[in-house]
Amino acid sequence: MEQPVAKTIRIEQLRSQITRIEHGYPKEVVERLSSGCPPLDTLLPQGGLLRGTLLEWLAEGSGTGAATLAVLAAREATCNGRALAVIDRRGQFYPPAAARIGLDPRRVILIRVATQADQFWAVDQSLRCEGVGAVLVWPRRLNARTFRRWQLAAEEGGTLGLLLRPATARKEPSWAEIRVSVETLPTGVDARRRLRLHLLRCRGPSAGRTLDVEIDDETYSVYPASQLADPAPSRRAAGA
Amino acid sequence: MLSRQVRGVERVFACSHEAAALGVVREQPLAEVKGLGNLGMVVVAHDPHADQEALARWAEYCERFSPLVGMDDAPHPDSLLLDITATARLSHGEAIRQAPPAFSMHGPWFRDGEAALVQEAVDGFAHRRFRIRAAVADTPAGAWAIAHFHGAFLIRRSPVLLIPPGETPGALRLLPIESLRLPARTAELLHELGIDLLGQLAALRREELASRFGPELLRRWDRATGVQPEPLAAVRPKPEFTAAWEPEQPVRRLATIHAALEPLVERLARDLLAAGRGAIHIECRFDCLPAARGGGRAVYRPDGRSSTTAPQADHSDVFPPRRLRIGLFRPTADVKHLLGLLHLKLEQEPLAGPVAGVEIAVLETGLLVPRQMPLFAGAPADGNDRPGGDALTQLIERLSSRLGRRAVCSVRLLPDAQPERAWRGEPLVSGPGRKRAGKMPAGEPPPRPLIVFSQPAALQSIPMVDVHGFGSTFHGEPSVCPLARIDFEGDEHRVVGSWGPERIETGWWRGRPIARDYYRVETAAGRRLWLFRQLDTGRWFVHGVFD
Repeated sequence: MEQPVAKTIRIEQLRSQITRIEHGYPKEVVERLSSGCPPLDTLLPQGGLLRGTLLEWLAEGSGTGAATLAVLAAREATCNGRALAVIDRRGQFYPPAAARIGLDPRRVILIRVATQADQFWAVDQSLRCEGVGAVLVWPRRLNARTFRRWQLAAEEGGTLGLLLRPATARKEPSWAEIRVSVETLPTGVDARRRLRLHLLRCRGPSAGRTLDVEIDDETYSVYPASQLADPAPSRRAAGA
Repeated sequence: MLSRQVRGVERVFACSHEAAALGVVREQPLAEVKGLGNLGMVVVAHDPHADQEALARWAEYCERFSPLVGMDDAPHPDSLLLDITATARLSHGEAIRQAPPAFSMHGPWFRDGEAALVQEAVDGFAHRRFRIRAAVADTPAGAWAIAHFHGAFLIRRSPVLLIPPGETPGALRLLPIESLRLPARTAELLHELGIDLLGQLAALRREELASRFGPELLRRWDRATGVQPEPLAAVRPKPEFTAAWEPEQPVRRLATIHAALEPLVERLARDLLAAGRGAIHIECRFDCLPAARGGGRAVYRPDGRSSTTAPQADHSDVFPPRRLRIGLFRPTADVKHLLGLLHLKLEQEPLAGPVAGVEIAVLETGLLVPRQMPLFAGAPADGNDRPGGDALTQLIERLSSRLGRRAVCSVRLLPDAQPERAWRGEPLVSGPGRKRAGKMPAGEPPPRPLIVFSQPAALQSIPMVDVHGFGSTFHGEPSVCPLARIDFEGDEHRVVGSWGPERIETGWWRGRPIARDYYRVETAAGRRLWLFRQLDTGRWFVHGVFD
């Protein structure tokens, strides 16, 4: 049984080496994270997100579920005990909901900013900090210079920057590693909401692909849209 | 006009001079005053707490006149007591604004300097639109009595009364016995015996006084006349760790100020380390001269701004010294870190004018955790409970320093049905007298949207459309949201599905009780919103979005 394990480790090492070469990261290991959204992970080149990068979610209007996806990713990025910095300019982030998604509220640092300048600075500082796992922010306007600064800050701190932006930002240049647009699909009256994710930007062959997912409103689990059967029996079958 | 309730009746507590001219007097029932006709009077309920806070701020202001500023010891003090024995050989005064709070000074010598100092104090208050009475006497109690009861204030309408040294007992003779702040029962008893003035009291034999009226009366009398010394407790106790710097000439250059801060912080850090303590809360006071008058020493001239009628000017703004407060997440005695925070704060709140003095005081300390002692720069923190813990601490402090203590919070979930109260943000950096607590309530919270508006957005009243076959009346509970269309964010949304209602009601004892039916709805485009209907008004609101 030892042989396959060693093989997996070796493959893993080679993969991270390739990533390192590709990105030119000075760090020894680029840690890979799940996006908290398994169907999306399968599309992403490294099978997930990378620490030290930015991830943009674009959505038209509110109530689309983009923030839910961002918080799912934040949950993964903070599960090793690092903090989540939420930079909330409008004072609308509702921690009890985030706690329901599975985010430990004790790891949340809520930062209220009054001006755009403060927002830019607070994001930059938080991204640069090793103690922070992820930074969640709703930048309404973002100039290229600040964007680039954030990207460098994330790289320095090894943090994941989660940016929730309006769909109009699609035309703007991006320094994000991954840019996903989120569209809602009508479900009728189903407890699961349906979202169409469009992978606007990422490395590898998946760029430009779309993916339909369903999110359970009660458990916040994400399923591929095609998988309509109840997941409980399959989980049992997997021996979980 | 300020009012307060006395035995169920609203009475005048204090009024403006304009109102007094119309015949309004203290303790008059409010109904009677209203009988005088509507004269554009503004009546506000008296807030003793706010009074105390204001008096404390004035006490701080008065520290420029005396090293020892105290308050009188009444349950609701209205006077400041300044020991001016050593400064300008002064004593006591009392401040009066519309309400009659106060201030007093005492000291045994009497010189020109005294009169000048008192006048400066009175002017300082007047400049900030506060009228005071100032009395100088040999003892604090004497000055208090004179400031409150001396006829000269009423007859001459002068705000200052200086009692020459040694003449305090004489001046007290004509004052009513109330000026000794006696217990109500003792005062009553004295009146019954026909003793109304202190002079009459003084004529009685001491032994008799003590046996008849208890030791309190004698003690008060002795303190007023100076037979017994009266201890004066400072309003603001002097911090244990301080460091100050006074340049020979007022300094304007920021680089010079930065250079001056370094040795101060170093000295503080050394003292802190020696005591095994770390700073949690630091105040750095800059005595700034108004930018226009560069010269002169640290003499406080009221700046022009405070005299204008800017209503938003709070008192911290009115007083010239600029105070920068820095709260820390964990006790620290690290020079580099503290200096960095101070510089950041200075950058945020630039000084108004040249600096004539700097004082750094550590207001609160905590036990220094040994691993925080910096042995050498960049020493790794070991045994930490989470990775990058020190980096996180420093981040929190930097953020709090620039954005304000209240802007950087931890989240505390609370077991409360009302969505707005189901959590609270608690500042991560401790302020004066605040402690951090983090406990999770047990149990799973109900489904909630990630975005909840601080102000629920009211929906236009759209006629209820009965899409699902329920009656248009609200008999019983409809199982789905009865709205068919909603206007939100400038668009009209068709409701295609909904869940609810979830009824949330709170008790009347909670101030503003709520009674709402919450619905989760899905629009035709697949967006999910959180609506509620106010049960008493029937109005609809969007409270949040499932983003």
